[in-house]
Amino acid sequence: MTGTGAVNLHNIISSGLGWFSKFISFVYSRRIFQINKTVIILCTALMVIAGPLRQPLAAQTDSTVIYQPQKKDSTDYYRQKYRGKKAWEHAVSLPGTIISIPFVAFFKLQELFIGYVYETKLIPKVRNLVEWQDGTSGIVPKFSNRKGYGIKLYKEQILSRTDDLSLTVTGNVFIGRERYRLRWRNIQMLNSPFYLNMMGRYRNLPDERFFGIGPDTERSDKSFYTQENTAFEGGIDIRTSPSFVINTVLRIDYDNIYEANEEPSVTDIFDEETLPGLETKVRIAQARLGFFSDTRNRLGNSSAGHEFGMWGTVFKDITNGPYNFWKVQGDYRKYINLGLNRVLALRFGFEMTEPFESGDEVPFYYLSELGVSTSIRGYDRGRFRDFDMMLASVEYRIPIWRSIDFTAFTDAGQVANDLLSDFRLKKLRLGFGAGVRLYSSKDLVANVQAAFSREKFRFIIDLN
Amino acid sequence: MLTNSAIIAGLLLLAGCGASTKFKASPPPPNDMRPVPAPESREINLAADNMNKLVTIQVQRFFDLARHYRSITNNPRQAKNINEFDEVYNSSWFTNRNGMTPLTLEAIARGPNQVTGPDTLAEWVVVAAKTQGVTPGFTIKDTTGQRYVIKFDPMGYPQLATGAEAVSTKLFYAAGYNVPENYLVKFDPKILRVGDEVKFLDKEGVNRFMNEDDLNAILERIQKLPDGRIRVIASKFLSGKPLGSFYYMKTRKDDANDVIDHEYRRELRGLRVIASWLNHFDTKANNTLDMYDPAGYVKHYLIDFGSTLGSQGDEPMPPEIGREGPGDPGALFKTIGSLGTHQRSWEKDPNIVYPSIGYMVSHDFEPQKYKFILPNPAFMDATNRDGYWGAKIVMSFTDDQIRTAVAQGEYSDPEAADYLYRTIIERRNIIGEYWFNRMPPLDKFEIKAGNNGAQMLCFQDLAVKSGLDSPDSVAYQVDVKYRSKALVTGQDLGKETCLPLTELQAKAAAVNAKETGQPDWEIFFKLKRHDEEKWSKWVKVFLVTEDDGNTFKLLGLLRQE
Repeated sequence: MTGTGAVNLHNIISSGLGWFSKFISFVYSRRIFQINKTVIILCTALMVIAGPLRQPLAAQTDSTVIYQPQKKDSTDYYRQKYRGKKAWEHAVSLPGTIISIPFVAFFKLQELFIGYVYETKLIPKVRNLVEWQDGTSGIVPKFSNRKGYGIKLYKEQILSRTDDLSLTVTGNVFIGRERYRLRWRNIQMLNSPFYLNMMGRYRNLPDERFFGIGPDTERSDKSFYTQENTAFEGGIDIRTSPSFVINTVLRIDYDNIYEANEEPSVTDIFDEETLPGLETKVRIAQARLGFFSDTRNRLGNSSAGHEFGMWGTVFKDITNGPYNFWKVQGDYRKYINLGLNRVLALRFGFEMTEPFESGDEVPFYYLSELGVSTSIRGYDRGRFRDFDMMLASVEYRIPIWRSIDFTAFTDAGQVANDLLSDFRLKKLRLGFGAGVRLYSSKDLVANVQAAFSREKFRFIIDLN
Repeated sequence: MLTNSAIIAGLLLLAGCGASTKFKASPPPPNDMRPVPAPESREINLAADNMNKLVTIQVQRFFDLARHYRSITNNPRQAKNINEFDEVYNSSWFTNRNGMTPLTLEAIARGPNQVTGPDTLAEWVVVAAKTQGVTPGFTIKDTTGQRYVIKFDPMGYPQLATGAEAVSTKLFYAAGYNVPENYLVKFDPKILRVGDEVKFLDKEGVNRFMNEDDLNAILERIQKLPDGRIRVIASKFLSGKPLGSFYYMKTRKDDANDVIDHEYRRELRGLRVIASWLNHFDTKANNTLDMYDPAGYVKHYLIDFGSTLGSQGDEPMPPEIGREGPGDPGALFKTIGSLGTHQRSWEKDPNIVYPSIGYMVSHDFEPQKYKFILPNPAFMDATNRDGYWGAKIVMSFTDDQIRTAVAQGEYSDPEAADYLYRTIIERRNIIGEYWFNRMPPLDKFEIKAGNNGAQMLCFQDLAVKSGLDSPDSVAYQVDVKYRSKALVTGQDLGKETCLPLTELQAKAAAVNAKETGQPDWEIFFKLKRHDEEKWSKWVKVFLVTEDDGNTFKLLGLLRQE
């Protein structure tokens, strides 16, 4: 121990003795407790010892540790005089103060961290780095349960005032899930109502689930598979009015199904005969024609209007294989303002899939599907599959703060071999839940939902 | 059993440590306008400060057992910079103005302004510019070399932010706070010239020197008057050296004059009431400024009133502001628990009647529930006495004074100006009704000579004075102690606001009372309105008799918390 260190220790001890004896004297003088006179004598002796103890030790060292009595008109004196808490308050609060130390330390660290981020202007710097000042290009983070985390790089207004070129990369390195999508859409052609769309995509999904086909499958029958999909798409939208679009798409899909990382694997249980599309490398061309009507009053938090879309798609196996079928899909969403921005969002959707001829097949992963964040939210992804599907949903939105809504919802749906003949009310699957949605004037920014069904409880998180 | 008894005994003993109704004649705090070395400039870290106020301080307060104990025993920590009459000393923070002596209408209109603002007929040189954000801003230098921060109205809301800033500046100044000289001026944009080497960030994100084209591009985004001029607030640079904001807690360690923790300053605690009156919800540290005055001391300012009254600076005040904080658990629980059937007060009436005024209403204004942008340590610790002090200042403003202040907003629509005037008055009266019910508004005690020359102790009932109560609707009661012995109990004064002291002296002579080391006389005044059953809390006035035995001297007062 250095000389200065020893002196400091002595000073601390002597100060402690002094303060302790002062405290006892204070307690005695205020008659807070009955204190034996012997204790007082002892304390007085301690005070007597404590004083001289400090002086000679201080004298032994350099001037920086010499005790200097406070001046009666010094800033320190007045700060002590006008301090908020009295001595007894510090004493009473001591247990609470001790308990609070880890909490306070934790939050002080948070303050330091947040303060550092603010001080160094880290967030604006990153934004400046990835975003042009005019806001037409940049990077946005993305996250969802299904797609994992990732980023989207975008550049708007390249060829027209409306077009938007983006590269989205999402995935989950722990599972090995990966998605890449390059999309250029809404390219207005020479101020006409024609808008060109293009898209190329690659997906490798190693943890896809399969529970069987039909409405009566059991969750315990879960098996896994890996799906690799590459798709190229081009199409033209014809905007006949600000709220109405005719949509045409041509597309080619390359699908490969592999053994999953997890057990049991679909490939161990089924074969191509029992589960079409399982082994064959499927190459399918699609031609889609549809229309879409959008009369929403606001995009981020619609409170009036509707979205209605209907599409018919023809799927043709380009290797002259058996995968030739068609689909009809419809989706209707209606927003009703109940007053004070309480909004009821109603949704009804359906999908019907049908092979063209008796020998034709539908790959199981092209079947209609229920059980994901956009259908019955309380069920596993891909929980129900069959040729047809219907879905109804009611969502009640209550504004709880600027740009934040609380939502409560219920979803109902059913898959069926033939919806028109096989639909049974008792086979409807129900899901319920609640959540919070954060929106901007243009879009939904984040959505956090807790959903449950009779099978499970799950959290659904979507960012951007 | 023994443990319980010990706890009760302990609490009783501790109660003795805290509550005191004795007279304390402590010397005033040291003059904080003495020359001291200049403190270092600092910039408050907004993010860390927000975290501190929202979370860390709340945790510390939760574990502050002494605070809870004081709360249970109704003995909260009182302000430290008050005199014997529960008033604030003048300081580098505050100057007693309208609350002490009513200002003339000319003084209200003039406010802090010492000159006439920048000359709008001569050239203004732009020396700094802010182009980012919703509303751009300039700093200009006029022909005298004086610098001004130029603030604009948001697009689509002419007069909104400039009007609010002009009116609030006058009222905060008259209340006693240090505020900048804010001038409402209209200028022709042709007088603007870009100064040499003015750096600015262009829309491509490049930091470069500003040119005339950049200036024109900014001016295109600004609301103009029909004659092409632009209406702005020109906020004169404060004299001295800027030192950054002050916190609403603790002291500034490098300011030798700053000895009282800010959360124990009465003027900052009482600001809660005054700020709620003028819808000044954004009272965080960043809207304050410490200046090292040329006289050699630190002067503390409230700045930036563009987000007051019905304006939020870049838009009208959102209706929930002041009524509900972000993530208010009570409101959330009610809204979600009732599945949205519960209507929050601000949801019922969200419409803006006058775009130049924005959103400011009075019908559901509840001063005690007013929500500020962040928890403010000084406001959180404010006691009833602090609230009463603030309310007293608010109530000191007469209708004419308020009309004069509103006129400084130069609203082109007389109906809009009248609406603002009426709303400020209505909010003032709501504050008065609330606080004057909570604390008896018996004030301005003084010893007067009656018609027969005999001394009387007189007071004013501020509720009656301000017209909230009629003189016939109130009654007063008095208890008197002489040297701690009860001399008079429950004497009904009716509506009389003077107590003859000579009779008391005669009664005191008949009592053989020894000196107690306290003022001889303790006189408790209470108030009862006719629609109330109970007497109010007391206001205790301390008197002594001078050496001649006949003359009374007023020492001070104490208000029951």
